Amino acid sequence: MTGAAPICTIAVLGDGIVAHAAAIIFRRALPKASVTLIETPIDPSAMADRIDVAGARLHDFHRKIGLASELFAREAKARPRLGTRYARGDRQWLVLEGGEEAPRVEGIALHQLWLRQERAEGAAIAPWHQLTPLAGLIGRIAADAPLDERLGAHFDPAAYRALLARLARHLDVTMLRSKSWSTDLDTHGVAALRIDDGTRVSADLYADCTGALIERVGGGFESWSRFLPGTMLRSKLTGDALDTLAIAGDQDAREAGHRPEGWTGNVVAFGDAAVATSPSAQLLPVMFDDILRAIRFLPHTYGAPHARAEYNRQTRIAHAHLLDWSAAPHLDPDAPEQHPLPTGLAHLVEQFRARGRVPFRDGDPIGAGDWIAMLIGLGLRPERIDPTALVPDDMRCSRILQHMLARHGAERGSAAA
Amino acid sequence: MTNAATPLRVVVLGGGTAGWMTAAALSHFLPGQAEVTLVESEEIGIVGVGEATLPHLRAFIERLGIDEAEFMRDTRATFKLGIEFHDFGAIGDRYAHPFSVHGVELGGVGFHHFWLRARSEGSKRSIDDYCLPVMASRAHRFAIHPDNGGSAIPSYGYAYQFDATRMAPMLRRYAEARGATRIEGRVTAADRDGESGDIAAVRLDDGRLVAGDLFVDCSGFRALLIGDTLGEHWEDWSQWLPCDRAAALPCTAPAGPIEPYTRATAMKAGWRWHIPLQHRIGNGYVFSSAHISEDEACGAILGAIEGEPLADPRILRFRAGRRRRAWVRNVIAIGLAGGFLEPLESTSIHLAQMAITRLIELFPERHIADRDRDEFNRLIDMEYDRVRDFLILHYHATTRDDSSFWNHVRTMTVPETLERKIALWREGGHVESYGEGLFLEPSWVAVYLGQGIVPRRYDQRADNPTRAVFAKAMDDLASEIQAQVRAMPDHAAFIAQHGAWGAA
Repeated sequence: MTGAAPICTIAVLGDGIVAHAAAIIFRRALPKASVTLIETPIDPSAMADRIDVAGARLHDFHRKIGLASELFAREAKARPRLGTRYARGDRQWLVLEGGEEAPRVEGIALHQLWLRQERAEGAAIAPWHQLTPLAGLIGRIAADAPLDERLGAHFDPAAYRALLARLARHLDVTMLRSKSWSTDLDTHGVAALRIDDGTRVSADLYADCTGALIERVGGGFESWSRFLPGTMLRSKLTGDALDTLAIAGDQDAREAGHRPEGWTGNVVAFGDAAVATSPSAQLLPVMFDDILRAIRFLPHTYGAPHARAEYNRQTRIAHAHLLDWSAAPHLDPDAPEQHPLPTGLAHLVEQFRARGRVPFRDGDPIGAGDWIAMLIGLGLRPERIDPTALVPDDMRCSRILQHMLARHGAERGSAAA
Repeated sequence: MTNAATPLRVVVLGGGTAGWMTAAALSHFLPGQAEVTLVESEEIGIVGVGEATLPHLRAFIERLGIDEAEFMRDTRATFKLGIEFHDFGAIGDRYAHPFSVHGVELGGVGFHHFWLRARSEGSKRSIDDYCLPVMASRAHRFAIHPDNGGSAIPSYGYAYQFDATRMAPMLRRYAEARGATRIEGRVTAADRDGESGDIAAVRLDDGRLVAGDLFVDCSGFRALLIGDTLGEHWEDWSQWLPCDRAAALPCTAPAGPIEPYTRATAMKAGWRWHIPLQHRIGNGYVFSSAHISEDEACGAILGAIEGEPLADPRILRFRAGRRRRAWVRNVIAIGLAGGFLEPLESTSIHLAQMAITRLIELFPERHIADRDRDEFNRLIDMEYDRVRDFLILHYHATTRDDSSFWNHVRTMTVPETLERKIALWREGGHVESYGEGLFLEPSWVAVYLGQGIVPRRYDQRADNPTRAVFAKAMDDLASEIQAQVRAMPDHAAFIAQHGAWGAA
């Protein structure tokens, strides 16, 4: 059996946020390996470099790569981000950070009590998001507030990229520049890359953030266009620390999709090269998760088909969940089905429509609380209220809801500067 | 404001552990939504042998609002930190499967990779040396919240070892106090609705009819409703799990400390359990009748027990497998009627508990939605299949060749799902993990390594620390664990001080 040695040399291809992040992660995880970043142009429509928000999980990632919060705030002009305001037609809804779990009170799902009360009274006691943990922070985060672990971040993507590039250089990543490059293949996969100035870069593993290399070795792209009918326009972070996503009807120039075999041979795809979809605060965290997952499954050079297969299996699951999240805002419960729903989303919608249930989904980076806020915000209502939520009498149900409303109001200002 | 005008009439058949757990949970979580009637016959003996459980049962008892100490007093329970397996991989082998991860995770790298590195560098320490609950178990010590003083040693779970025949009466009192009705009688037949074919009522031997909307079949192996009446197919798993009998008997507890763990010792044609309770020890030889006779098995268990027998060995018969669907029409099988896996990893009560939890989560209306039923079955199937694979691993990953039983399990074909998992582990020490349900990554790591499957490679990040730094860190961890164990109280003393010691 060949390939008994650990991975010693890694070449990263690309020029954006994800390529630099990948180089840093590999460098940090494998101090004995040599890491080369070939800064080569990527598709200018790549979402990872245009997006200006990311959810709270970004802070975990920064901890892992040793990027201090203050540095990120200063250099990438990062500010706390509380959530997203979705807008479609005359419908607006909020999905706030802190949605990892479905809130429960006295063993009962809080959203079921909320739905019960709305049905009984004909109108909700308050918009659902006001009963979620961070609601009290709406409108109370100062413009110059420091970053908060519980919240996501809004930042300048170009400045973030520059910061990551500086960090990579500082960590002794070998940086090469090349407008174009060519590939030498052998029986195992990629033997080397040749860049413009003639340099030959040979590595045990190639991390492709351009999409061209993975395509070359057969890691094909699977389209998601049928699930994502239109583009979503972004607007700047508003004064209340929320970003706004408005759904418009025009088609995005890019094709949405992903690569089911993102790791093929000795090439692994990251960023838009691996998964292309509409913007959301989940996008960068999912792309960074892919890199961290690849480190966990790093094979010893060749002869590790099972690790590769397991990486691809888990990555497909994560990407499928991201697709569900991307497709969800387009769902109109009142309009007939215009486009097919991805399988996972279809199941979620079916369960929620039946009885307001949000099942556990393995490997879902999006929390149950996030899903509840999204599905309620879209206007989906269950045919029946869950029986466990019918147990308290009307007065107790009302008391619980009032209490939760008041409680989250009481959290006001606790994260403000 | 309710969905339906009247509560759903739920009829539970059978009063053992599964039946009364169901009645208790439904009465507690769905008062006014479910009206519970339980039919049992005192003539029918319940299976109940000394039982070991999982931490999930603790959570169940807690959610019902039952006080732990009271529960332990009533059931003469001891604490359980895990299971010790003897002689499975090879005669003379020993390993632990604790309710905890081994070691500490460092920089996102699983500890077992560090242990593999240490081993490759000549270390003779078992991975169990790096696990606080395992070391505590072996020293017969127990504490619920050890004072870690800021150490990095992860926390651990615990469960109970108890007399399950005492849990049912306790839950019966609980359920009846919350409105459940008990009917004494033996079910002889089921009436089906002429139009729908659903079960409308069950008939008792004295002629009474008990009508219901939803029927929970807890009638054990007899499977009166799901099996006899509805004829739901039983998927047989005996080709992978050949044990189909148990010779069970209690014995006296020898003087001395009480072990806070269950012991499973491999035998010529199966394995025997050793479950220490407060007042006695539960034993049983789980065996394959194709490889050893009942008489031989009884002789073997009598010869193996450490105390004086308190009864003659009792033979229990079972088959490994499950119903193709646990929920058919308006009948839900919970407990042995729905499926059975031998108690090698203490899963019997858990599988019933899991089904009860899912039933509450998917509690139907009078007209049962296919959606609810299908989702329930999907979740139950997944759990059973995962546990099955995990149990098969204990048998298949062996080097034993000293009997036809061990030759069989060592050489048999295993499910593809398990083959794949083992191949992934062997290649590089990875676990094909899932996020919910039994058994999570730490459990698979414990059993893979314990059964002697050593991966060809470990995560190369485990090589990052220098030799000196690494050796010291491992030494420090092992020492700290020893120090924490020394500070823990004796297990029996803890039970007493916790107020959990039952009356003699």
